[in-house]
Amino acid sequence: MILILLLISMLFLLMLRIPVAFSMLLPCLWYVALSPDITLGVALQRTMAGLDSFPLLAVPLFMMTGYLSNTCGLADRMFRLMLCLFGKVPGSLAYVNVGSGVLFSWMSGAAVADAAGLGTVLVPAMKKRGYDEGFALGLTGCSALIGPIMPPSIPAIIFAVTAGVSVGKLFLAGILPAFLMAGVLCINVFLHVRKNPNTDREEGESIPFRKAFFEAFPVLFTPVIILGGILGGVFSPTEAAAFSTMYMLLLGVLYRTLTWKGLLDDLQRTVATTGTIMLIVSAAGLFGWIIAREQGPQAVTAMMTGLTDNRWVFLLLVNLFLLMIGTVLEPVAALLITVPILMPVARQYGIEPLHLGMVMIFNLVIGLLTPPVGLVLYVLSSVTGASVQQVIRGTIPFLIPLVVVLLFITYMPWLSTFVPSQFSTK
Amino acid sequence: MSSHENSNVENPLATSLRQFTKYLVRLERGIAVVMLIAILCTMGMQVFARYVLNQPFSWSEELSRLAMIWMSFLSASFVMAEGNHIAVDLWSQRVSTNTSQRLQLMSYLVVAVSCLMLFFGGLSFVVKVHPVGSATLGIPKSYWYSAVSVGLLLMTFHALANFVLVARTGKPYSSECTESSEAKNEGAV
Repeated sequence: MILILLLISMLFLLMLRIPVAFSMLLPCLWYVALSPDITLGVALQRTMAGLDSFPLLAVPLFMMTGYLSNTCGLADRMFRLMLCLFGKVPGSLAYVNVGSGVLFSWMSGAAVADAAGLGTVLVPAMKKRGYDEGFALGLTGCSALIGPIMPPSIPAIIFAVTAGVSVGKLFLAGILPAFLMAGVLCINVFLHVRKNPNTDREEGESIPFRKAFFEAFPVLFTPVIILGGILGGVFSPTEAAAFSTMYMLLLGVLYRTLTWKGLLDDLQRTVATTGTIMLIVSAAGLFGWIIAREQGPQAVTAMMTGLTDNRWVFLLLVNLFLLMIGTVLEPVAALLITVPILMPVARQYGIEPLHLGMVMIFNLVIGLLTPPVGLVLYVLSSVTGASVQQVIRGTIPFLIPLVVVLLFITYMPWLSTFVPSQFSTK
Repeated sequence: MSSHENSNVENPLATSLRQFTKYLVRLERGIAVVMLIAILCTMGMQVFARYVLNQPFSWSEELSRLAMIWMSFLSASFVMAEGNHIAVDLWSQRVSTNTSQRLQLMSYLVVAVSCLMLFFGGLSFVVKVHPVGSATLGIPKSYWYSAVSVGLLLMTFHALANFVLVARTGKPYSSECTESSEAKNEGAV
């Protein structure tokens, strides 16, 4: 009962455009203030405890890596390498888009960073070669979504910390789903090109493969740092994050693309984004504690098991619920609110935490492309100059392949669990 | 109130409030950036010490966590001043400017109330844990919790300053030099 009241007041505050962190915080504070046996000191302790975590430290560091890779113009180099590989195929630039998305996803853990990097380079290039603008925008939006699925991933860190699973394992869990998504996007491109054979006939200037490869080779080394570090047990995800940030700095210096101003901008951008995320994380620390204290998961479990015993039906309901939440809430905020409730319930259904993590992250990430609140839409619109309406119109057809991938991830648990089961990480 | 809305001449209170907020934001952002650099360096040294010196540090992890907590709350404060905290913006475009402004004023009040509630409610706790040292470095636990308290106070200030600014001039504090437009949605729909 108290929990329902808590959730309703939270929703009410959210609707009034109160920042997410405070929409969570205020009802929780009233709960603590009105409970006779706990003091607000406990509330303060919980808000700090939510942040006091070493794995969480990877969030600002990977964010910084993503921003730096944009500033250092690495998207451009990957774009040229991909152009060499796919240059002769019909619809080459569209495949280049997906390929660059896959490469870029190794350097960034947030879809907005990918959308900014890919959108700046690829959308104008595709438009110049006669692609439909909507198709170019939609495809770029989808390629950007590979970023938070492929390691490193900010939502994965948040899920892992909140649910108490290993960050490294959840990173590994994302690899197959990310490649599956790239594959489905390629099929989509293939169909589009067959239907519109006139796009992209013109051949671009040819770059010798060797040159493009050597230009991009140091960039390709980042996945090695991240994966090698985590798999080989050389360092933890957090240290890998610090290392990849430094590696980006090094590349920026070597390529002479990094200026002091660019570096300062990136540092400021990183702390600003960290501030928005971490405030929600700390409010969620208190929120999650209250949910557990009031035995929220038990109540939801009782309700769900009364509804269905079947775990596949349960997962379907989870999908619908999260897709709805994703349309209005940003993935990290949504994860922090829903994981404390859904995680214990899913365990009752025998769903593996890594599988649940991938399902939840993918659902919420799709929400980045859907109105009314879709951050990737806004970023794409601001870096390409297209109106938000145009971007939305372009992304709608891509929701179908995204849902197909979602169903695969939901109903084939081994997509998420196979890779992590092959390695023992801490 | 509304007579001030379209006038170009701001009243002196608003001007000085904007000026002060500008310096405070600069300070908060500056310290946060220093913390971020410190985290980077500490992490780099930690790996270096473990593999090159073969002598892992015991303090680096704790120190970087402390730096992250301070960084997070200081950043949350200047993000608050700039109005860039994540919020669900469903219908601000569909209501009149007047209603939208009232909503904004109320949002500042909610922020200030929650912050002050947690600040005063937690104050005795911060004092109580002051003698307790942290696990490896022995840094008083109050240094950890006061990051939250300081952040709460700063956020209260920014919320109230924006409240006054919106009430007096119709516009909250905004700095031209912010680069964090990616973190907020531009409210373009």
